[in-house]
Amino acid sequence: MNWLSLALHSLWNRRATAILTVFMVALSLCMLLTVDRVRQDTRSSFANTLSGTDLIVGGRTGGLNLLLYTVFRIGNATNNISWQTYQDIRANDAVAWTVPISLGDSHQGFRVLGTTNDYFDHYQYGRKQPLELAEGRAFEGVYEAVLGAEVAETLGYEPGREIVVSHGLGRTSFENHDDKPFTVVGILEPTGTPVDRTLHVPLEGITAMHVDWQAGVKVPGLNISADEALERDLTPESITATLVGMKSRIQTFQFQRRINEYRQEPLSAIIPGATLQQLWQMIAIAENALIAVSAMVVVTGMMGMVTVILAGLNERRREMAILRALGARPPHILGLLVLESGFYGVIGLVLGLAVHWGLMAVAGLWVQPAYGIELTVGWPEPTLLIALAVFLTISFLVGLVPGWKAYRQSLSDGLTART
Amino acid sequence: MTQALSIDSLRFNWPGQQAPLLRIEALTLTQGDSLFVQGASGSGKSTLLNLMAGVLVPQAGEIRLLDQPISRQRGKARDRFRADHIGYIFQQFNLLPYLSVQGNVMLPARLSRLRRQRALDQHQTLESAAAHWLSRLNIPESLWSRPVSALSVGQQQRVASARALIGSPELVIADEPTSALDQDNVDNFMKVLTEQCRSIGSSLVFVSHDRHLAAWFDQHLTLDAARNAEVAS
Repeated sequence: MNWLSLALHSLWNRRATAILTVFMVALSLCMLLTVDRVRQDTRSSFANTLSGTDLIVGGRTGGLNLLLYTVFRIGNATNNISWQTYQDIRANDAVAWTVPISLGDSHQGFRVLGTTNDYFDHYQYGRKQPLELAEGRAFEGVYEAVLGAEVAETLGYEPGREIVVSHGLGRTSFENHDDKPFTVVGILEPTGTPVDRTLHVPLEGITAMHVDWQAGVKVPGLNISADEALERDLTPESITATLVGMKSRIQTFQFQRRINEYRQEPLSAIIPGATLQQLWQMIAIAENALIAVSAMVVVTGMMGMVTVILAGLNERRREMAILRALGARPPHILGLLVLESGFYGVIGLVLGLAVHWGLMAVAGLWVQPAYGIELTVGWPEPTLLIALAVFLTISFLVGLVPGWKAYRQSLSDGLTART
Repeated sequence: MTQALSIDSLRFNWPGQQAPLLRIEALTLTQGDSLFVQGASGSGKSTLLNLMAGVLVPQAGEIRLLDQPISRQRGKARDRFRADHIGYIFQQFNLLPYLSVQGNVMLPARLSRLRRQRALDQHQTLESAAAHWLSRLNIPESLWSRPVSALSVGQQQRVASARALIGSPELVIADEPTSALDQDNVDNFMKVLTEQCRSIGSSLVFVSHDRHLAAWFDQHLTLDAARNAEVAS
């Protein structure tokens, strides 16, 4: 039997306190790990959502707002841009491609996005990955829908299924476009972005749904059937926004300025990466505060651990005297306590990591569908790993505090501790 | 002949004390003989035990154990010597609560290579060495794997004796081990302890304020209030 085994036996004898102490350390570390991980995951999932788009153009609004509602499906558009303006942008020599986006309707709580087949050709996410169809095909007719992977999975839809789009964004809208049902023709591969939670329909479909509507309300007595609607001109009057790809990236800034100064209509053009950067700057303050609080919780946990060991020392004078009688040297006694404190650190870290991973895995199940942020389970980032190594070292070192006290105690008690 | 213990012109006082707490001019104990140390509270009995066990060192004079000048050795050597050659029995609460009865008895053999070797030479395994001493000290086998809290005080003191005797150390030091026992248990305890020490040729140094126990021992040392030790044989 060596000293390590004795220390573990002794700890097991005090297991109620020991287990609580380990949990205290573990939870404090779990909090730090989770806060940092969620921060990383949020950033990467935002950064991965859109790629290859040079500008986003919408009605005059805040840049952040425009980014959030066009790309992340968060919030609502306040202004639209006219079809004429869209055509102007599209026709510009510097512009390589445009993808129109028309928002405002929903299906079972999932947003419906009106666009053209250009969307499937030009929309890119992650590292310039294009959208891929898992099943079916892109739009050919007006009343057709291509579903994001999660929409199809959650609602159990397959190509051929007829769906009814609701007016507005509520999950249980009373106003349904039930006279003009859409047929699912394609399902996209999962992307881990808000695209998964979107139903895509042709722009003409959006127009057709609203031919007998005015100012957001169905016109009473006016019923135009789906087939009758097809006879009409389904060119939209306006769209919510457009994604723009430039022929040359160098022209982006110049073109952005031109759009912001567009005479016919007040417009906003943003560079997605730059606007995301603004978002990070805003969020960084809150993030740093959270990290600071988590770090303080870890420090508190460590102080609690030292307190527990110190508080137990008096009861253990007897144990120390017995060990001394059996030949333990005062440095052994000190070592026992350093070992105990380090043990709390190591086991606390292992358990903390396990709880953190479990938490991320479970929380990911509802965070992904609700917020579109993919929570990942994995090793902490290098900076945090260094911090954890420092934590482990300190967890051994703080054992010197009770260790030193026990050392002094065992020197003065010798073999005659009477307690 | 090896001297288990010899003391020469020993002086000890705690820091700040004027007169020495302990003053012993000369004492020798032949290996295998037993010594009874008697004295009232505060007469320095505990201090003497700590000195003998090499936990404390005297300000003046010398203590030799097994012909080695223990009081002049470094702390590490003294701690090693104690682990190898001394079995120690406390007044009470001798046992580690987180080890079984047998685990407690085997402990010295696990911490000292010398005592482990001796125990293995005699009994092949540490378990059988522990079993040997536990049965010699009349601990029923049904208790061996029990936690120590299941034992009576008398049983605990006998288990402590088994622990002191495993690996046959040359010196067994007992610090008032009978003070928590009733009279029947005291006689029983004294009988098995002195017998077993004799059986392996160990010297027993036994401290008590109970002069009735003196009859069990070869030599007597009285620590009196005047701090002058008187040696009688």
